Amino acid sequence: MRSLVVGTTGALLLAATAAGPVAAAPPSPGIDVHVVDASGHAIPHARVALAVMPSGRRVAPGRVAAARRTRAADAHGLVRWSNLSLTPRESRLATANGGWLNLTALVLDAAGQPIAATSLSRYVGSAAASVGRSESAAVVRVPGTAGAASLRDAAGVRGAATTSRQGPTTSRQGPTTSRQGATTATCTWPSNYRWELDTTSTAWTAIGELHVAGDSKATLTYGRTADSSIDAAFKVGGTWSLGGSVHIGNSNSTSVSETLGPYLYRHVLSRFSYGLWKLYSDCAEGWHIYRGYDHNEATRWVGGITYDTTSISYYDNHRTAYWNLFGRNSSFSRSTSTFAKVQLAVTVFGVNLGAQSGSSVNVTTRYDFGAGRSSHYLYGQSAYPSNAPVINASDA
Amino acid sequence: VAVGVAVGVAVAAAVAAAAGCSPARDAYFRQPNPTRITGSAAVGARALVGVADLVAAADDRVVLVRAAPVGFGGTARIDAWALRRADADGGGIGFSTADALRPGLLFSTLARPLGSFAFTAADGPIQVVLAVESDRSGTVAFDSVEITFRVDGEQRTQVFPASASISFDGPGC
Repeated sequence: MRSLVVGTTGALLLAATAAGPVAAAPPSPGIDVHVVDASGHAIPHARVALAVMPSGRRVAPGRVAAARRTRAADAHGLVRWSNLSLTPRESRLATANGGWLNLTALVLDAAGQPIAATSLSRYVGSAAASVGRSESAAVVRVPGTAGAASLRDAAGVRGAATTSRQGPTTSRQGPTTSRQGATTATCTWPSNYRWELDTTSTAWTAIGELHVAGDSKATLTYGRTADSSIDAAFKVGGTWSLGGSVHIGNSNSTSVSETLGPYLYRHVLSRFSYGLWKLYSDCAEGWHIYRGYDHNEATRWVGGITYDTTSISYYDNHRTAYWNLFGRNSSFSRSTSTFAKVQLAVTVFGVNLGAQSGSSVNVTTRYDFGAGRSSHYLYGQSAYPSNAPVINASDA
Repeated sequence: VAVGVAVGVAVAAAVAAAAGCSPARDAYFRQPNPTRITGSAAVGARALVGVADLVAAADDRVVLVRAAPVGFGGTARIDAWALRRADADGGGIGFSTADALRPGLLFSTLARPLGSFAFTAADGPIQVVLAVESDRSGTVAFDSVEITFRVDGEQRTQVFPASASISFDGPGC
């Protein structure tokens, strides 16, 4: 097993003002990629190809995300882009996604074959509250038995491509001509790696959870700018595995709210669009060939809100150590920096993905307590309600 | 706590920061998520509002000097109290006009006034509670709370994003 650790760099130039550190210069979007094996040892000289994925706006099948940036790791397994120098189009993509840039990093072996991939997100906007939340590391585990050997020496040899849905006789005209069939092809000097969008799907995805006790109600408000990090997945050889996450930050015309009444303990869901991407490359033989990698990631927040029909728990109406008392006709609301991650937030394209929501004013929980009881309690499992990843409620 | 003084301190701090007189410094206490609490109380009654939870760093002795609302509106008398959570069965105040946290646990017997309240890491979390009292109908509100404290003799301040709005109603309302 090998692991790819992806880190990010960038000068975070915070500017303090009279109003406090609320203004920040846009960070220089740099990225470090560390290629390591499962035990953390560097794998030198691997090549890494980065693709900027379209997020935050509607995308249609056939859309291409090219891995335009390719760079070799040094002897310590490090690939560094000190500044990605975004193109105007890429900057527009980030803007559409609330300042968040989603990328895939593809690791290629000496023969130019893909051996690992991960997703990562990088905030390139100027909101101080988000600058510090950019992903600092991501890990992808790669099936294989190779040790931490150099990947440079055999560069340029012929490599066998994995199963192709097009077959070796398909021209460069694009994958939409035929996605049927499965054949094996040979691909020499693979180049021009790109993800091509095969299918899109919209799925209800957990954005938070509410726990409500007696004589009270709770409301979760999301948006109107989305703020969720959602797992990404890669499929090789028919098996999905999680690999990093993407951040969805597009804005809709309105925020959405869901209110739950007493004794409900539910995940709150909103709709996101997902894309099933397939990895292609060109080959010296002239083929435009599918490389056996599928990739599933969220592309945008669609909107809508509801709550899950399944209860998170059937009875959590018992406060523990981290509780606060609320009297009659009072309320408590919190703009959260991080909700607890919902491990099974959505199932889409046959794989379960987790999601984590929350930031600044984009995700808010509010509890309203009635006049029927003199005492209502909010509590956390490991922190007080102002910081607890999950706020629980109790009326006794 | 005199509200006018508190507002003056906040304005002075902002002016100092704007002038570059106050070097950037990490917050001593963990900064919580922004919160907002609302509630109502009768004129003349005392409303308790929990505004911050403080944990001292290892080997430090922290003395709480004062806690004052920032962005204050309304007319009220405000006193600041410290509640050692361990004495209250781990609990504390969100918003309450009652003295009992739960049967047998009285705020008035557990809380200590700020001014010279000292604690260490061994005390665990200390909740700062503002007691708000008004003699006239109307709304009392604040945007955040500035807490002044000393760590091993050095005085520091930290603003907590705890806002509140309390409606004081006359008898019979």
